[in-house]
Amino acid sequence: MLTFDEPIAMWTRTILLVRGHSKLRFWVGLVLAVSAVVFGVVGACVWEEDLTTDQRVYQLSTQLMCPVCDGQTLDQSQAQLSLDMQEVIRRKVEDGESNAEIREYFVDRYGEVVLASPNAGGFNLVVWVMPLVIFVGGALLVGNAFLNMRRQRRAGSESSVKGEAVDDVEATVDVDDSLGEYLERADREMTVAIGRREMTKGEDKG
Amino acid sequence: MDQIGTTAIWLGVAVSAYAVVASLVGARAGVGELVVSGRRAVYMALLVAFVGSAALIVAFLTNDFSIEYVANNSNIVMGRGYTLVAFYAANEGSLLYITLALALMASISVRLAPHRFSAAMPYTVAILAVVLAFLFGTMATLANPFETLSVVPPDGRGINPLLLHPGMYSHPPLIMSGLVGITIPFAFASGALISGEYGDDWVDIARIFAIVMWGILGIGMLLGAWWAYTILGWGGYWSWDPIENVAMMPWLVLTAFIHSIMVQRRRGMFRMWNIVLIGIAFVLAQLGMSINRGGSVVSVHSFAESSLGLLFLSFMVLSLVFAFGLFVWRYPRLRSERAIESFMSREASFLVNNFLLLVVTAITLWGVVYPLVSGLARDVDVSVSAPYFHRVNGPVLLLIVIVMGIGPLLPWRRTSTRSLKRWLMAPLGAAALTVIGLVAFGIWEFWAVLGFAAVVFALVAVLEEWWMGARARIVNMGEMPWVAWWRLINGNRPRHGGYIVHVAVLSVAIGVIGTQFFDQRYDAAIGLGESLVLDDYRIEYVDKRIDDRPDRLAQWARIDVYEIDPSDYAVEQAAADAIGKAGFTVVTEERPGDRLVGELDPSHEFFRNFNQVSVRSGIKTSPVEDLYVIPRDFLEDERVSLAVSINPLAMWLWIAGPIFLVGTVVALWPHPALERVARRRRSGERVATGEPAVALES
Repeated sequence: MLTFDEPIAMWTRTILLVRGHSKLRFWVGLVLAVSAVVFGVVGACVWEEDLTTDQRVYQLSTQLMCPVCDGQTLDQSQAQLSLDMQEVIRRKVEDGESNAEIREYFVDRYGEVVLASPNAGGFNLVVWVMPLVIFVGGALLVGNAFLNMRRQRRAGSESSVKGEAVDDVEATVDVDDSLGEYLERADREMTVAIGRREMTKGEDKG
Repeated sequence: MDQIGTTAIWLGVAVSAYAVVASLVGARAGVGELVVSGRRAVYMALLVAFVGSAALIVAFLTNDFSIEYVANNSNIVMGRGYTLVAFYAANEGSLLYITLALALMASISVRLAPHRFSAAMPYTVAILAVVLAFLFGTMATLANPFETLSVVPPDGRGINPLLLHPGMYSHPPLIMSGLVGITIPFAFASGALISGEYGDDWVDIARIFAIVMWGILGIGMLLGAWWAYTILGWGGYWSWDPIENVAMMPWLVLTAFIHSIMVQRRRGMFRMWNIVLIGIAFVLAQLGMSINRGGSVVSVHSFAESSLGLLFLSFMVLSLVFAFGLFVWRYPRLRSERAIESFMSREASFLVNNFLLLVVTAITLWGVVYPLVSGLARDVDVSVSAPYFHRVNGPVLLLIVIVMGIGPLLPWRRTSTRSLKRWLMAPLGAAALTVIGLVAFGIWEFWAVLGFAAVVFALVAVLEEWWMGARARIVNMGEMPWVAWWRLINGNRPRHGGYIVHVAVLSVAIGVIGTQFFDQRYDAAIGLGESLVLDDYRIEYVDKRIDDRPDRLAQWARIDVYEIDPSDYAVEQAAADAIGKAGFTVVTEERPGDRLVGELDPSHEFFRNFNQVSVRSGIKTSPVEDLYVIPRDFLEDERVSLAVSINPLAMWLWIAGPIFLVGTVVALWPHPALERVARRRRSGERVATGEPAVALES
């Protein structure tokens, strides 16, 4: 009856198979890890020379702004100047100039504003470093807040709230494995809810 | 009409100012009648905003060119259907529009506010009224839409041709009302804070309005992207333009807010944090409106350019000071009652989610303001555009997708490593298979493969959650699968609505990865009777149509799209490869493998009055990829210069729209059982409910 049951059942079986065999698991893990590394190294290296002229023209046209259109890159703009600039790019690519050289050419002509993203050098280093600072700084803040809460909680838990042990009530549901897991979780959370409700009721009386 | 309009605006200033004073005095002096009167003044503000808007629309309909705004944005030949568009197409009118939108939403929210919120209500009303007074005041003094001309012109200038489009009915009004509407959850949070009755009472109503604004902004942005992509024909859908960014930043912060407010709702935590978040969202929305009003940054959208930018910027700074001051003042009262217990809990995952969303927001803000920084610091203009944002935001967005996969699997409070591992098996396995599959098909782009794997990971996590829940119902109660799934979703709508939205976000992610990493582009000029071959397509230039009018020159290219058998074109392809060309041109002749798959009709219009080109693209779409054709120019020698792109998976960006809408509505749908739980929790009973318990109740 359940047609959409099949793929998921297959899934579950495959996973169970891998999970049950530590050797198999090891090999699967190893293959995944190695392929991830190889793949990362090879995939991350895209060389200018590997691209066709057209691809490079397109790539460069996304990296340069159209000087007369508000906030549009060359590939987005229909302005005549933008079309002309793309022609210039094509000529230069065909003449064998590198992407950096071509960008430099336009910077000399129109100023830095022609670059869609600032070069990572000089003062502009700031624009590139800041995101990292934001990320790391934010992570430190969050980590610190989290540790604080933990400390606070540890200090608090020594004095009171023993009742939270209801958390550990185990539900033993003997249906098939995957379902059991869901029910276990549901039951646990429900138990917590009931336990808490009873607990607070108890407090009210007392 | 102009007298009615101007009077309405001045009345608006008066009633909103009265609302502020009456509410504050009433609350301080404990005069209930004044408080009620202040509240009713908000309804009056709605009434006068409505009268003002009606007056402007009537002026448009009657071609009353004595009003400057009408003369500038309409003319006799303009279709009456565009009256509404003209109403908010430029600065003054759009101010009136957002005033109307805010007055409407403020009235609704004040009307709906629960009774127990009454102690905080006067302050909320006062804050709403301050913003209304600011908007009315700006119109009354600096940007009156009813300004009259001393010499009445016989005809108006007409509306900007780029705006004459059905897309104008949805995208701009949605974005504008979404931004201004963030005032409402902010007002409720601040009201609660000022009154000192800082319980969790404000949370429900703030959550509802935050989700509404968030949904409006989200749909507005998607519609804007869709409009840009399918019609405006600049070849993309999102360009990280400052205006797009300032609409997205409040949306991101609201996303963080509606996640973390669930933690406050369920667990009474993150109280300070939620106040901070809604404050940031409000200030960013002010920034958005300020940049929209022109001046400080360069943008494609600066059609509403004016000197009001600075005024709105000042208002933003005031909002910032107000929000910050309020927070500092009430800081001691904002302590959470509980702390996070374990890093492996849903509340902790919300914390991570908030952190990542705010990082994207902060980085985007930095990118938006950096040109100003550079200009001030060293007097050099720079641009910060798409390539920058892709590189710095891309990895963080990827992390967000991954967290979307883990978060839903974590229960509240804490979980064991063992149980988490078991839940992660399926998503991780699916992600691994995705990597293997993609690599087997020769797709090696590192970030793209990682992105797809992350999407599959998060998707399988949601499906697993649904599957396990539905399965429990199927087995235990013998329900049909669809019934089981439906009841599961119904059992906890805020949560499962959220998951539906997650699926929409993943759909967007698929579209973004496909179009960003695998798009191909080929520009060429071809004549009638010639075809352009790119990838598996032959694009034939069949015919041309011209419509030459006084105001514009419109030209259409009839284009037939064929799917081809590449082996038919092997010789030409080899020649093109040799000289580094992606595609090539051939004289049209039907080859055996050719199959007609679409007829496109893209156009190129030149508007003489405005010296502006408007291009409409032709798209042959499918779930796998879009073939996208723009006529860039019709040349003297009868050839047409085409820009052709292949945009893989683009359709998934738009599929996300309806899913997003459904998810938002599901999450918003009132839920008596959950409301009861939330109320009970607040009233001191402290019921820590795991949602599945509720799901299994019915």
